[in-house]
Amino acid sequence: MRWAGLAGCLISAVVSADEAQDWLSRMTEASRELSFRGAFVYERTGSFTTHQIWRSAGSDGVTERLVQSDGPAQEWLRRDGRLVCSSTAGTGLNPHEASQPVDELELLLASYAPRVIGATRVAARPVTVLAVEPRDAHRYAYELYLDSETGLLLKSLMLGDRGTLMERFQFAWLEMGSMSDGLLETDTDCVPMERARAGGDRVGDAWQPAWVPQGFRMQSEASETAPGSNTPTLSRTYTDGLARFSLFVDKLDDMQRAEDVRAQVGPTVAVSRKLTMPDGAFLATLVGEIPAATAERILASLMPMQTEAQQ
Amino acid sequence: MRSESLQESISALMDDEAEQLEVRRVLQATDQDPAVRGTWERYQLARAVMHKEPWQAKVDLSAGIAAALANEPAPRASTRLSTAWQTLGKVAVAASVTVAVLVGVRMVNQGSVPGESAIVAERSAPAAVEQVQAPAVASQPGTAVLAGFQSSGDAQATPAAPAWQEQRIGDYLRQHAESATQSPAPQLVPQARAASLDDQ
Repeated sequence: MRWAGLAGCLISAVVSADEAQDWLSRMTEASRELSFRGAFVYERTGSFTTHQIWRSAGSDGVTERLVQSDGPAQEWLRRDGRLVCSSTAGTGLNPHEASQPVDELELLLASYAPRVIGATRVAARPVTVLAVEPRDAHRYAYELYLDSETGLLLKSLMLGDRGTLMERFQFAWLEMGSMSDGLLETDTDCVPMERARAGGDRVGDAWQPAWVPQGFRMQSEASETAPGSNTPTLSRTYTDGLARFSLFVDKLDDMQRAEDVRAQVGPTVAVSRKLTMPDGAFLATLVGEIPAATAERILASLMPMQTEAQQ
Repeated sequence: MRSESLQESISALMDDEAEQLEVRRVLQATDQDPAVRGTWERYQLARAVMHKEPWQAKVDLSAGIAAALANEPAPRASTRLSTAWQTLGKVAVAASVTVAVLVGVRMVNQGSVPGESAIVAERSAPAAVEQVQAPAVASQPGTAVLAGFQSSGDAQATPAAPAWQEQRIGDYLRQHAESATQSPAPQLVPQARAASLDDQ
């Protein structure tokens, strides 16, 4: 009797994990295929903002208009996730497309244990709640609230160690279905974005980290000279299927002063380290949704390799 | 028990973690000591600034809360209650404090400017604000602090990062957030993250 109960528990745990996996693939499918409009809030330390979104998905891709509904009027227009225009100029440049596509779900399952933990309601719609626990201390935990009907992500919480809330994203109102094209036109001065140059310079194996946490794969790399700079910046982006971090390496001019810096912007850590090499000083910066200790460790493992590659 | 433990109680009250005894103690102290009242007001102001909400010093809810507590039977620390009863007691106190806040402000708001209720929403929604602590890391000697960002390191006696570096890190934060939105199945969370950077 006791063993039957235990077996029952084990089976239900397995079922819950399989079920969670199905929900995660439905979530990706939903964000590729669904058209909707709605309002959501985003909260992290030092910032609480409310937004409206209009999204139209069709055979020609996904078009989204995002408007900030509190504070200064700001607007972003995206096609397939790429900025078309923005009322804040931002960096003025689109970052590179993922040059090495990865199977995010497969990666995610290697680093996290997702399971269905219950059901509730968000934006007046029934949702299924998924707990996504990390398998090690190099990433944060998530709670994902998916629309029970479509799988669309309606609420997402990022949790640090001891369950501290790092970030909250939550729909307050949602209406499914297609809309007229007029609703996808911008109201404000929307400054068009330049497209990133295809390819950029060759990157080679310069400045590879010798250590990244298990489960992280490189998604894109580029070497580009920013306007106003005369040396290229090398950048690499890594993902574990859910969390991401980006590495940037700049060569410092002889006259350029730089400091070692660590900043925490809500869920995102930014760590800058000065590296002195025989061929000059470099500034390595890591930005990502990973614990600060992990970020420091990755930066500490950076290997130049550049000189060897040139010889 | 005077000053330091009172500070702790005020902070617990701000975080909606205060026990009934603490609530009473703080209210009593604010009545008697203007310095304690000053501390309480500064904490409230800091929270309002953090959330970019207009701060109305005249919305003072302590009278309403004190009145609600006066109607509660005084807690008896010496009696042994079962855990279930203790929990129930806490829930009851929490609920009555919330109600007092709502009632208090509705009265204040009569015939005055709308928008003052911004603070109410906050008081009546515990857990809406959570303190985010960066994971503990040994503090790095010589770690500079970015003026525009909240730093997890020790702020004292470290050189400030030069302006070009601050701006560069800001650009990298945006670039990182923006690159996450690029997908045939775009997610909204990275978009919201990118938008919040422009909200600084």
